[in-house]
Amino acid sequence: MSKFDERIGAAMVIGGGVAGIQAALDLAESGFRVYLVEKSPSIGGRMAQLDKTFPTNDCSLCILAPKMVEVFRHPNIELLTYHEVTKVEGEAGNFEVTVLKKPRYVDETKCKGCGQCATKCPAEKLLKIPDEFNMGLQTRGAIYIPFPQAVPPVYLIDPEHCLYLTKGKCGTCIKRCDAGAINYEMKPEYRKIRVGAIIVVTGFEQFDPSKIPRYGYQYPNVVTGLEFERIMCASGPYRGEILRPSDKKHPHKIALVSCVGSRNAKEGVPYCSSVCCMYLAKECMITKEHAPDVECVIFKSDVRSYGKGFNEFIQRARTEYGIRYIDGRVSLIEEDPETQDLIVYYEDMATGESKEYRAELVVLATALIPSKGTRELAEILGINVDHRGFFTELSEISPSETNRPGIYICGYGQAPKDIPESVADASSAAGKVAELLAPVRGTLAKEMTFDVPEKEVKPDDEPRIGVMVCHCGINIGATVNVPEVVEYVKKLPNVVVAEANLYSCSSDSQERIKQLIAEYDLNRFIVASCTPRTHEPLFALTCREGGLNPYLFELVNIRDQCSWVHMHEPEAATKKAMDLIRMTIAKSRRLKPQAQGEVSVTKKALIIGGGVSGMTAALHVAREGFDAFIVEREPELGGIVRHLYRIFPSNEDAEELLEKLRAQIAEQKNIKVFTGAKLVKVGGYVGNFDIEIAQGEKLHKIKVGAVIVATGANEFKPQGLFGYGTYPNVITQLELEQKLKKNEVQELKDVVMILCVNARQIEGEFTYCSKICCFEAIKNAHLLKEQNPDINVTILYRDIQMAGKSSEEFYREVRQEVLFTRYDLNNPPKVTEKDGRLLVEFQNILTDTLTSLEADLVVLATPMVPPDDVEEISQFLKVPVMRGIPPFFLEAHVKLRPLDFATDGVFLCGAAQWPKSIEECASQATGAAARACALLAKGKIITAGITMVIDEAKCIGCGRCAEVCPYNAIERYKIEKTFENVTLVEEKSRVIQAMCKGCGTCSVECPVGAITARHFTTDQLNSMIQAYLLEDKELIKEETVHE
Amino acid sequence: MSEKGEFVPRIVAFLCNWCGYAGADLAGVSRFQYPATIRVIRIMCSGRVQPSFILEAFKDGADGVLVCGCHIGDCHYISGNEYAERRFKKTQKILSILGIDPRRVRLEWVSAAEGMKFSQVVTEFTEQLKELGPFEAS
Ligand code: FES
Repeated sequence: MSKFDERIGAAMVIGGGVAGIQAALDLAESGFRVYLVEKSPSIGGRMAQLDKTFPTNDCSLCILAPKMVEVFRHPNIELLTYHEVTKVEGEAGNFEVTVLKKPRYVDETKCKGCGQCATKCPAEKLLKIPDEFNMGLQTRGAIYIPFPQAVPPVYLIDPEHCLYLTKGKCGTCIKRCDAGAINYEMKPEYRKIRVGAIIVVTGFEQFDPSKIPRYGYQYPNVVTGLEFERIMCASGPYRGEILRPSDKKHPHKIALVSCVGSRNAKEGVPYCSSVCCMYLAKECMITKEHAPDVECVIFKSDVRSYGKGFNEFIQRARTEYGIRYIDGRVSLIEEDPETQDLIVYYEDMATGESKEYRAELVVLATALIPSKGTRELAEILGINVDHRGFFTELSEISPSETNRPGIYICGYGQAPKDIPESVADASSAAGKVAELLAPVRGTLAKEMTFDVPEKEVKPDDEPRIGVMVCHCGINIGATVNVPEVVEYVKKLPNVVVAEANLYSCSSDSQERIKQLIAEYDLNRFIVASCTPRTHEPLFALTCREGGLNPYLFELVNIRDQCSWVHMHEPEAATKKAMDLIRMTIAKSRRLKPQAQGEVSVTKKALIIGGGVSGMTAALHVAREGFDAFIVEREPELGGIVRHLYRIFPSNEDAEELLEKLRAQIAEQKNIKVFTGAKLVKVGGYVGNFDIEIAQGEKLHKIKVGAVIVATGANEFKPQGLFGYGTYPNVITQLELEQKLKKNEVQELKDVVMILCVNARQIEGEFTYCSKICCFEAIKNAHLLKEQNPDINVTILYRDIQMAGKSSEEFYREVRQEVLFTRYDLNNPPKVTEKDGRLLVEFQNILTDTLTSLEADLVVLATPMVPPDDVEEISQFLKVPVMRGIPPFFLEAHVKLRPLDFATDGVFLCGAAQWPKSIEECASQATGAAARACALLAKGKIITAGITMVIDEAKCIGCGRCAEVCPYNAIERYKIEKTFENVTLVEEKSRVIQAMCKGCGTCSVECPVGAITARHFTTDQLNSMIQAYLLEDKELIKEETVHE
Repeated sequence: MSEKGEFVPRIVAFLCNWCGYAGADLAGVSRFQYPATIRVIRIMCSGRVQPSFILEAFKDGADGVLVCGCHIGDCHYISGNEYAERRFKKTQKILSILGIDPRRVRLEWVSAAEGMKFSQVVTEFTEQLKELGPFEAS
C-alpha cells in the first residue's frame, strides 16, 4: 500500500478571508481537522478592512471579529498564518502539502500582543513604512501587528525595514519585550501536512489605477474605494473623520467614479467586479451620515444592484441621501495645483456633451482582481486559471470543483462576488470536502476530554475563591499598582488565595491556576487581566482542566478597559481595578456550576422543493451518508428549470440536466421523494422535527433532524402590462424559451424585448431587481439569432444587470448582433397593434426622439416571484419572509449567514432566498445541505450553559417571552392541575435549551420574574452594582471584615 | 470625591458583549484615554438591561448609569437592542417621576469599531454628571 492509499480526515483551507474562515469553521464543525493557511500575518482578509457592509451598513469588523476569534480557539482548526503552500503531492483523499512558515522574528507562543515592542521602533519615523492594513494612509514600525483585532494577536518584524535585520544595529524591541518573544535569528521553516482535500479561497486585490493615467491616481486626493473605506473607518488613519489626504481637511464635494478598469478589456479587466456600484452608494451614504452637507456625485454607466435589498438601497441613496448619479464617461481627472482640488472631465452620456465637475476628493472604484500569486498557486496546485485570472470550475452545476479532484475553489478567486455569495460558496466547497471525506469523518478531529473529573459544587458550599492579578508585562503593572491590588483582594470575603502574575495567559500560568485550584480546594476562580472576549475561553478551559466547572470562572478586564485608558492616572486606575475585582467577587460568590445539556439528533433531513436546488441538496445529504426526503408539490421533480430551453454559458440542454439529476436521485437509496405532496404539519425543533406530509389521500409522518427550504421562485406573469394578455404575440421570456425549444422562430422577422417589466419600480411591491432577467434575455436574444440569423432583435433596457465572470464578455458579443437601446422608467415603451403587427413606441434617450418599432413578437422580462405557498411554509417552520416586496425567505444574517435561518436546524437555499442563476442555486444548495449535515453528523446538540430557564411555578403563561424571542426558542405547553374533581388546564412557557442563544431579553420582559438568565442572573448583576456602590456595607453584610 | 475635593461621578456601565464592550476594548487597544468614572458590567446583550438595575444603581448612590449596545440593526441577537431602547425610554420616564434627572442615564450605540466614540461618550457623560453634581436621593 502506498502512502497515498488511505483517506485522511483532515482538510486544508488556503486563504483566511471571510470565505476561508467560513470554510474552515464549517469543516471543523462537521468533524474534520482543518489547517487554515494564510499568507499574511492575520486572518480576516479584505472584509476586516471595510468600514461598513451594504446593504445593511453593518459594521464590518464587528460581525467578522467574533468569527476570527472562533477560528483561533477552535480545537480542530490549526491556524497557519504567515505561511505559504509550496508543493502539493498525492491525490483526492490523500494529499501531502508542503507549507513554508515565514519567520515572524517574534515567537508567537511567547508574544502576548501587548505592543510594548512597537511603541519605540525607530524605523517608523526613519523609514515611514506604509501600513498595509490602512492602505498606506498611515505608517507603521518595522515591528507591528497588522491591526488591533488581528488573529492571532501577535506581532511580527518586517525584515525589509527592520534596522537590526538590515543593518545589524538597533535591537530596541528586544529590550522592550519582557516576554522574551523576539528572536532575530528565526529562519524560514518547511513542514509537510497530510490532508484529504484542499479548498482554495484566495480573494482579491485592487487593480492598480495608475495603469490608466487619465484617472489621476498620482494626485494625493484621488483615492481608491478601499482606501476610502479606511478613511471612513472609526479605527482608520483619520479616526473616522472624513478627511482628504493632502491637507487633512474635510472635503465638501466628492466625486466617485465607477468601473475604473472594470468592464474594460483593453485597459483593465473584461468583467464586472460585481460589488463597486453597491459600495460606492454605501460610501456616499456613510459620508452623508458623517457630514450631511457634503455633495457626493457618482459617475456611472449602469448601476448594478441585483442583490437582496440592493435596488432599494440605491434608491434610498438617491432620494433620502441626495446622492447624485451622473451618466457620464470620465475622460480625464486633473489636479488644480493651487488648491489640490480635482477637475473631473466627462462626457454626459445623455446629451453627448463634454462637461467638467470640480471635486475636493475623488474616489475610484477600481476593478478587483484575483489576488497576487493566484496563478503561481494554481500552478503549484495543478488547477486551471482562465484568461481573466480566475480559477476555473469544472462545471456550472458544481462551481467549486476543479480539474484536479480533491481540490475545490470558492470566494473571489473563482469569480467576482460579494460577501454573502462568498460565504455561501465557502459552505458549498466545505460540503464537497465533507462528501469526499465522509468515510473518515471524526478520525482526526478531537473531542475534548479531561483527566481531572469535575468537582461537585453545591449551592450552599462556602465559596472559596482564588484570584490571579496580571501585570501583563508592564501593560497593567505600569499603571495599576498590582501588589496593592493583590493585598486588597486578599482581604475580601471568600478570597482564599490571591497572587500577582507576570503573564496570566502563558502556559506556565495555566499550570499555576490548576495547582491553586487543587492546593486550596478552590471552587471559584478569577483572573484580572485582559478582555474576556478573547481570553475567557482559555481560562475557563484551564479551570475545567483543573476540575472546576467552566462557569465558575470570571475574568476581570483591568487592561483594555482600565490601565490602557487611564495611563496618566495610576491612582484612579488602581482604585478602579480594585472596584472591578470586588464587583466580580460579588458575582463569583453567587455563581453556580452550569451543566451543558445534550439533545440527540435524528440523522435525516427534509428538503422542501424539488427543483435544481432541492435535488442538489438532497443528493448532497445522501452523499454525506444521511437520509433525505424531498417534498415537491408538482407531480415531477425539476422546478422552474423544466420551462427552460438551454442553460448558459455552458449551452447545456435544460431537460438533459434535469434528467441527469433525476437519475442520480433515483439511484440514491437513501433519498425518498414525495411528489404531488404538501407539507401539512411541522412540530418539534432542531434535531428532532416531526413532519407530516400529505400526498393525495396518504399522510406520511416522518422525523428529521434538519429542514432545508428550497421552494424556488416562479416567473411573474405581467397581465395587462405592455399588452400581455391582450395580444397573443406579447410573451414572457420563459414562454420564449418554449418557442426556442420547439424552434418556432423561423417565421419571425422583428423581435423586441423589454427588460425590467414591473421590476425596479420606484414604489410598490416590485422595487427589486430580479438579478437574472437581463442575462436570460441576452441569452435568448443570442439563441434567436442562432436559430434564425435573419431576425432583428432589439432590447429595450434600463441598466444591464449581470453577475458572473463571463457574462460581460458574452454581453459584448451579443451587442454585435442585437440592438440595445436604453429607455427611461418615467417614460416606458408602449405596445399597440397596427395592421396585425405589434408596434412598440418609446422615447430614445440618446436622440431624445419618439421612436417606433414594428415587431412580430414582443418579449417581456419580468421578475421572479416566490410561489404562493411560501407564507404557509414560513408559518409551519416559524421562519420569516421579506415584507414590502414579494415574500422571499429572510436568512439569519444577510452577510454572514446566507444559508441559515435564525431558527436553528432550518436552512435556506436557491431562489427561495432571492432570484439567482442555476450555478448559484447549485452552490447554495450544496452549502445549505452541508450545514445541515454538520448538524446531523454531530448526532447531538450541546446546549450552552448561558441560557434562560423558566420557573414553571412562577410562570403565568402570558407568552410575552415567546413574543420577544428572536429565535423561536420558547414553546408554549399546557399543564393540568386537578383540584378534587375539577381539572384546570394552565398554559405555560418553557425554553427550548437547544435553541436559546442566551441574550436575556425574555428575562427582562417577564412580568413575574419567572425567567432566570443563567450566568447573568438578576441577583448576580445586582450584587455587582451593590459591591461597587456600597463597598463596605455589602461586605459587612456578609460578616466579613476588611479595613 | 477625589482627594482634591473635586467631585468624581460614579457611573455604572452596562455594555453588551458584542459591540459596546468590544468598542470599549478597542478604546483600550488604541489607548484613547477617558476618565476613570465608569465601572463596567458586561452583559450578553443590551436587551438584558432590566430597568430595576438602573433603579438599584441610583438607590445605592450611583451618579449615573450608562448602557451601550450595538447600533440598531446590528444586535448580535437580532432585536435585543430594540427592546433595550423601548425599556430605556420607559425607565427615563420613571426616573423623572422619582425626581431623578433623566440626563443621569444614557443609552448609546457603540460599535466594535468605535473606540473613539466610546471614550468620547464616557468623557462627555462624565462632564455632564459633573455639571449635574452628585446624585442625592430625595
Ligand atoms: S448584542 Fe449588542 S445590543 Fe444586542
